[in-house]
Amino acid sequence: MRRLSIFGLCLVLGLLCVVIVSPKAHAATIFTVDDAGDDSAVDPSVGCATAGGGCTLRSAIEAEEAAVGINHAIRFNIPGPGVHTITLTSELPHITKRVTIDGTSQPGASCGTLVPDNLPGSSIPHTLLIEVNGTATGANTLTFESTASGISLKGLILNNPADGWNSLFIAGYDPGYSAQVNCNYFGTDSTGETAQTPVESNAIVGFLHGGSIQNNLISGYKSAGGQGVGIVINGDAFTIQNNLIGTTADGITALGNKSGIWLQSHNSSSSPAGTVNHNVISGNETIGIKNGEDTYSGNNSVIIGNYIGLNVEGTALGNGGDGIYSISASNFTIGGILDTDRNVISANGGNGIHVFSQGDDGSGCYSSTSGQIFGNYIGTNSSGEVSTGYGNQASGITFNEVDTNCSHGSIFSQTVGGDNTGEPNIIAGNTLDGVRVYQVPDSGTDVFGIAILANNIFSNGNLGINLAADSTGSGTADTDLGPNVINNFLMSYPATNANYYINHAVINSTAYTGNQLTVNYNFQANGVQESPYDLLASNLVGYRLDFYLNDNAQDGAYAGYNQGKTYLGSFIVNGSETNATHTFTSPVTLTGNQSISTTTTVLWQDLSSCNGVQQGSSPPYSYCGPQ
Amino acid sequence: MKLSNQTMSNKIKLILVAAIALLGTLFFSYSVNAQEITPAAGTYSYGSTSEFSPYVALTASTTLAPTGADQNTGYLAFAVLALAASGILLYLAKNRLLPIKISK
Repeated sequence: MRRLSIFGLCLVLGLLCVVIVSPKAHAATIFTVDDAGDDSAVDPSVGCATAGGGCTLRSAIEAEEAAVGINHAIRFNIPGPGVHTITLTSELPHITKRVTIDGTSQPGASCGTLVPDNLPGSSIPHTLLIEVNGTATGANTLTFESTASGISLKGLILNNPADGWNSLFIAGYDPGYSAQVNCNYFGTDSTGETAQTPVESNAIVGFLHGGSIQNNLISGYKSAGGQGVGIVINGDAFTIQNNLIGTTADGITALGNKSGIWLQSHNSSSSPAGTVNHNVISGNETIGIKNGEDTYSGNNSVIIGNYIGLNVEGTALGNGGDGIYSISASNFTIGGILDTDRNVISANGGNGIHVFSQGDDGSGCYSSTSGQIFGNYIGTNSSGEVSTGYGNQASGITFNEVDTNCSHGSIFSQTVGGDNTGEPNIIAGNTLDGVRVYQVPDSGTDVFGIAILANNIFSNGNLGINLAADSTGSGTADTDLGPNVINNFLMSYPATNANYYINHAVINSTAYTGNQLTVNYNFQANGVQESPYDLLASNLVGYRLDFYLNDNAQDGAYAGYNQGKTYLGSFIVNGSETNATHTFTSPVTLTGNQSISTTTTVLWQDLSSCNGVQQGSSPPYSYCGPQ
Repeated sequence: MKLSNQTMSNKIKLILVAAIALLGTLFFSYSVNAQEITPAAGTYSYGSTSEFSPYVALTASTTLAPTGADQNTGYLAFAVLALAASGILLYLAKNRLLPIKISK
């Protein structure tokens, strides 16, 4: 018995030794904020208690930073009903660890659904009860350091940032850095109806290589200077989804930022994209989404399923400038073939989509190539119909180069529409052109390779497609015939024109029986594009002729011209057609009160023999031009 | 060897027939340059697109043109047949095989 007791004692002591000597497995710690004050912790290494005995947001962050390990949590249980405002008296400690800050843990708080799965619809605002006022911090209200990958911020109202700073800064410089920023209000009071951002500031600024910014209200950030942006993110593989950006929390009324989102790709064109998906981005003072700019490229960005200029119910609200403004961006995607991927881009004060070659400061030229714009409604209501107040106030889509110093290939190899189901855009009801391709008159062929295929373009104020070279300076769309008549309508092209050297077929006559429509046409191609980057005649495959039906004899400002409302089909010819015919089966009833028009698109193959740089690793190369 | 007047006459007729056939072939060959082409998928890329052409109003018709084909191909077939028939007629006439006399 005695021997047994000694054995048992040794066993217990041995186990204790093992526990003491072995590496510590630290459990995540939960720090619960129960004090709306701003005091520091007495001893962060032992907990978040302040001298007053409570736990504040500041002391909780101090304790979380001092605690061993990661994956700690900061929750809230501040006594008393209603909204609790935490007025910061100085900058909060930067968060360097993976932590979850969860304002919805405050009793009574909950997350709604700001953007319903199916648009148009109704918003369900959040009920948020923890408000953080950053006015006196002289810094960003919250800062996530680069070591805090995996951090989550949820359920807070972040408003009144310090002058010139941001409500949230994410320093996710390193590859793989991710963060979750969900279910917050940025820039408003607890109702989400009133702006609380009286100074120069932005909502969310930073770097991300994963994670999401989702189900947030981001509104009211205005600026007389260069700030006032809802979200500015440089990175890749991140998602901005289901946010209201520029409206009240019910998604109905404008409560605009200066601009909505600014996307910047991380370093190289090979980076995976950031995705902007299913947001309502409306009511902002200037641009809805800026994609890239200058040295911050917008490469590989994906913009799908958003309302840009409509409120959550589908009513016109607009942004003050362009819906999407893309500079120095290649391989971007706007839209998709699924209904859920369709952007509705309407009622904006500028263009629906503006692809531009020049930086905001006017000093540089930046190339944009291989953009895909398909499956969108641009200038219509949410059903794709023309309705008063929904047109964008400039053009539906503008490809625009305004600087004579910009080189060959400023904007090239862009595709608008396509043949597959879901790819055509509806571009209608815009004040100026449906698609405008502008190049400042100079000696180069800077803007070319803009393929506009199988779209539904109608009821735009000026032309359905305008290859314009008759305005200067600001890139504003032309409203007169000018040299456009000479260059385009009459099929005589100087080297200065956008989409150089492309003429269209001439329809001699039409006839129909039932839904069978026969057109008789001539098409004599002008030739091929020449120096400085030769697209040789041997690279020419042929010419695609697209034919369109329109309900009106005239559609737009110019007698004798309409726009391609209903796509009938296309075929490819060799460019020397005289008195040729083709018959289509019309998808709509032919009445005799309709008219036909056509466009031509060049087809190239194997551009490996051109004098410039090819795009792609093997034929068929899609581009021949400068790097 | 001296050719007879009759032989000369036939030679001239044959030359005329050949000339007509050549001109006809050239004329219709030019017209059928309107052949549509079908490059293999994936072997080409799309480049620049033009503006919309001036519109043409629809006209109702009771006669439908061949669907999806070049109408000039039909013209060419008709022309070839007509030329061949002319040649046969002239050959028969030359060899006095026709029931009616069409040349001396």
